[in-house]
Amino acid sequence: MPDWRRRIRESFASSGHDPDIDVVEELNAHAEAAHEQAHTEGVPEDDAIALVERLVLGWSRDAAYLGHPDRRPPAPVPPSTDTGLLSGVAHDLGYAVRLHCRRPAFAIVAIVTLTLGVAAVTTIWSVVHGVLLQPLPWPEADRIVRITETRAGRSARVRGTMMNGSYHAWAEQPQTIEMLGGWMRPTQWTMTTRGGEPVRITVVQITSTAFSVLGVQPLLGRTFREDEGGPGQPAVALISYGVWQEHYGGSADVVGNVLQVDGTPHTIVGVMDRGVAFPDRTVQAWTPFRIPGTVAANGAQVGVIFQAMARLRPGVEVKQAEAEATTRARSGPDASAVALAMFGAKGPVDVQVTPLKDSIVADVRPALLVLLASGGLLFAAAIANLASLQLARATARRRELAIRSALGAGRRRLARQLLADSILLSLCGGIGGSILACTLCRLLPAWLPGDFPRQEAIAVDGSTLWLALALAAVAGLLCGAAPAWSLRQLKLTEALAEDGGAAGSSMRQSVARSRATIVAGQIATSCVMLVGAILLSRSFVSLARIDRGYDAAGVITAQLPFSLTDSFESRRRDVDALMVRLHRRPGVIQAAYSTSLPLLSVGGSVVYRMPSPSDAGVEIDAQALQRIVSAGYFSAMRLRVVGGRVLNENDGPSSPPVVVVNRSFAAKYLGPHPIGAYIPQKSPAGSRFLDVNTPIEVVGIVEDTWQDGIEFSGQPEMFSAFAQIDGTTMRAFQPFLIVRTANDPTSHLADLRRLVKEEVPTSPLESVMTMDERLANSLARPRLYATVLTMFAGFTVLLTAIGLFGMLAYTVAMRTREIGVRTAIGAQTRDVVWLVLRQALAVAASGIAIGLVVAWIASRYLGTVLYGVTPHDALTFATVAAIVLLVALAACVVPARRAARLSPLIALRHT
Amino acid sequence: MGTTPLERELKRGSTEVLILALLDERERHGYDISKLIDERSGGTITFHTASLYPTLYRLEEKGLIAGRWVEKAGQRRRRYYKVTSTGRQMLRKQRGIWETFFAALNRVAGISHA
Repeated sequence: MPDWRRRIRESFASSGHDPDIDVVEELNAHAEAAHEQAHTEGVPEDDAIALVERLVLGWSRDAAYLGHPDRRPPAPVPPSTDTGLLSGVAHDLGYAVRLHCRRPAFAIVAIVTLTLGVAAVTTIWSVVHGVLLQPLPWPEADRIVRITETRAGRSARVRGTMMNGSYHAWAEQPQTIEMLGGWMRPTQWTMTTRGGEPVRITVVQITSTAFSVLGVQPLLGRTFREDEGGPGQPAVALISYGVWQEHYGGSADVVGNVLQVDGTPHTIVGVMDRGVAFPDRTVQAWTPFRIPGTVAANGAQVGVIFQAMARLRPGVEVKQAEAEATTRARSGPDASAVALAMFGAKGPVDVQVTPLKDSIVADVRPALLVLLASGGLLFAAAIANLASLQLARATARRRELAIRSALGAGRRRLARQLLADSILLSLCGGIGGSILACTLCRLLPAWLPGDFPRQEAIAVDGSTLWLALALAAVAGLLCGAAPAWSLRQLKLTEALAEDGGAAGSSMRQSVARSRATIVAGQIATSCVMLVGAILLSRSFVSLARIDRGYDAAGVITAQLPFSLTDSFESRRRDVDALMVRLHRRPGVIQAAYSTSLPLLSVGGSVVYRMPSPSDAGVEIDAQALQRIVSAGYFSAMRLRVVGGRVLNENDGPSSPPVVVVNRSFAAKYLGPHPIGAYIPQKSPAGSRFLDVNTPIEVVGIVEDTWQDGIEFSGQPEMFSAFAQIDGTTMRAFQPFLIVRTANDPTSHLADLRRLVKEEVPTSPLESVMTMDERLANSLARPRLYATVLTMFAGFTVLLTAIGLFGMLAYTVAMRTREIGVRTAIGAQTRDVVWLVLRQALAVAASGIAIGLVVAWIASRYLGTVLYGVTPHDALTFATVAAIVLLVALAACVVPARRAARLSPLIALRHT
Repeated sequence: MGTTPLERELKRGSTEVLILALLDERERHGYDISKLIDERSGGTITFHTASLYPTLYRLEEKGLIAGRWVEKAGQRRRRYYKVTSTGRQMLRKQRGIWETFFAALNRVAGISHA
């Protein structure tokens, strides 16, 4: 039979075509079939050949139409050693994807680890960036500074304030600043809406100049005039954008309307823009604040403390402003008597000038930086784990890599492949981390303590996403570089040899050393993190457990805000009636009221001139906080009586004035027999007692109480009975209610609200909290810092344990044959276990040693946020060493057991 | 060859229907198809094998048929074709068109198909 394939090709070639091999095959099959058929039908051979020749000729005429679709799969193209960079990287990435899809477990672990690491760093970065780095939302905000003053190094009893004397001395034609402004602490007022409903709003009294210092203009209307806020001036107010929208429907003619606040009509002179939230975001309205002069009409000294800020002139340094302010304040009128009441000292004044932003964030800066550093360490631990795992994978793939190398792939080509693999995982981790960080940042407002500054500035922005990308890139490069570097040790003959592992390949030994170094680093990181976490946790526990001088358990507290138009007598009548009804309620042990609460110590500073306890011939100014309380206060708060008696119902308006003082007062101002001592009513700022002529008798001493959440001030205090106080000195009296209950205090809340509604229907109960809740709130920041750092440390320790476990498991697998030999020649189980333990202990010990040294150096940065524990607390360091050692031993259990159970026969067969 | 464009179009259209119809029964190779067309039309439709393969490849390109190489024991390696689901839909449609065409011819010129 003729060679029809050749005939077909020749025929096609003569018509100028080169047919596809598939087409030739198919036509050949047809030609052979036709030839056979002709034979079967008895056609002579020559005719049969002629018949098929005609067929072939016919096909070649239509050769142009015989273009056949590509039917064969393309032959695999061998990897080139010299492909273009981009296509090469794309190829490598594709290969990495296929590799990970085949064994997704490693990819999942790696991506989750990186996601958590990236999220930890980027979330804290968002907070640091928003809170510490972003400029304040005012024009040229870097020129706005906060002004505070100290007397003989002591701050005023409200921290961060200055006095009217220093203010006026500087405000007159200042050289270094453009303008000075002041404001009082925000207070809650009752606003009557247009519908007649009482609503509580937060109002700040602020000077007319403060808005100029900030550089803000109202959206509608104007700010205050200089004379507004003074005596005899009409009451005016600026409202926030929120109040304007909510209560005035955004009406354009709101300016000139009347705002009823605490029964007093205030004319609205302007509406502030949406972004203006000063001094904090709770503020809803501003009223004018005119800072009083230093001498009253009757010649008495007037001392007022308030918060202040200024705008520096361009180019002026903080120190220059500070020098001018101090000089001017010292040259002003002598205010030593009132200064003693305000500062507890009457030394020379020093004015401090601090950039406004720094003063706002000063309290949180150290903790945020510590948390950022911890996030960084956690990320480092995550990278270390990943690098270690990648090293192990590279070793597991050593044969594949050797084969590819043998086929012509250069070291650089293989390294690029390993890098691509690692970068792919890192990018996924980076994207995952960014998404998690976005979610966490949205949840942050709910987690952060209410007084955490600048929460509104926390957001995920470009810098956060760039950081996530950078972290991912760093992780990808480092984790890829480790195995790529280990390729130097890849020896083809060893890797390809069937028994490559037994004698110990160079690459595997190099990898084992690298992994041990990495794990030692992780252990060191864990130690640093654990020291921080334990120090912060112990500090928090110390704060929570400290003896505060009162018993917070089982106590409900609340404030009963009266309208300023209610007289002191009518307020007392209402509260007394409420107390009587509360006492009758089942489960109520004691009900009382006072002008202040621990953690809410506002105002009430007094000065009495009295004989010195050490020398009766010398007069001293005794400064104290005067708490005015109902008789039940001591038992309701369970203050501990040190001596004498507490106040009772008999201490009335007609009986001689008496006080109970705290231990600090007695120690500082009273002699060896404080009970029965007398305090003369000589006070530069005036006494608050009804009877101002009779000396005040000290009838009892109680234990000091902690006023603030995290600071014990050792402040002298005196407790007086309401019945003996002159009501004219109590215009702003808004009593705090204290109810001690026999059972769960929260079960009495509804009862309390109902009674208040019945007795004082015009005053809605406010700030209702158990004393325990107030304590918890005051400790919210230390708790948050301790919690976050403990979570970070926990995760780092987990990563370290995994790293150590991986390293040991790897070593045991690598030394299987050696272990088999040892067992075969008589090594006992304990010898084999010791082999594994010895390596773990060596790595752990070096890691712990380095970690503790670094922690020793780093922990001093925690000093400012620690309470009740020193940064170099030996117990903490010992605990950390013990924990890490235990974790290391726990990580040894499985590899050691595996090594111990190795059968020598199987082990010796191991390759 | 002296054929008019209409004849060419008719022939091309009918060839495709013929092939699809034959492959609808079962999968076949090229030689089988050409032989069957010859047999079943009783020689009326002289089918140039030259145009069979371009038609097959065109149909395959359109996704109406699919070919695959089959090697059976004791037989030569051959490429078999079968109708795809798209091809089956197309066949149904073509059959409808031809039905309509013949009905029209019948009504107008009294020409009837079998």
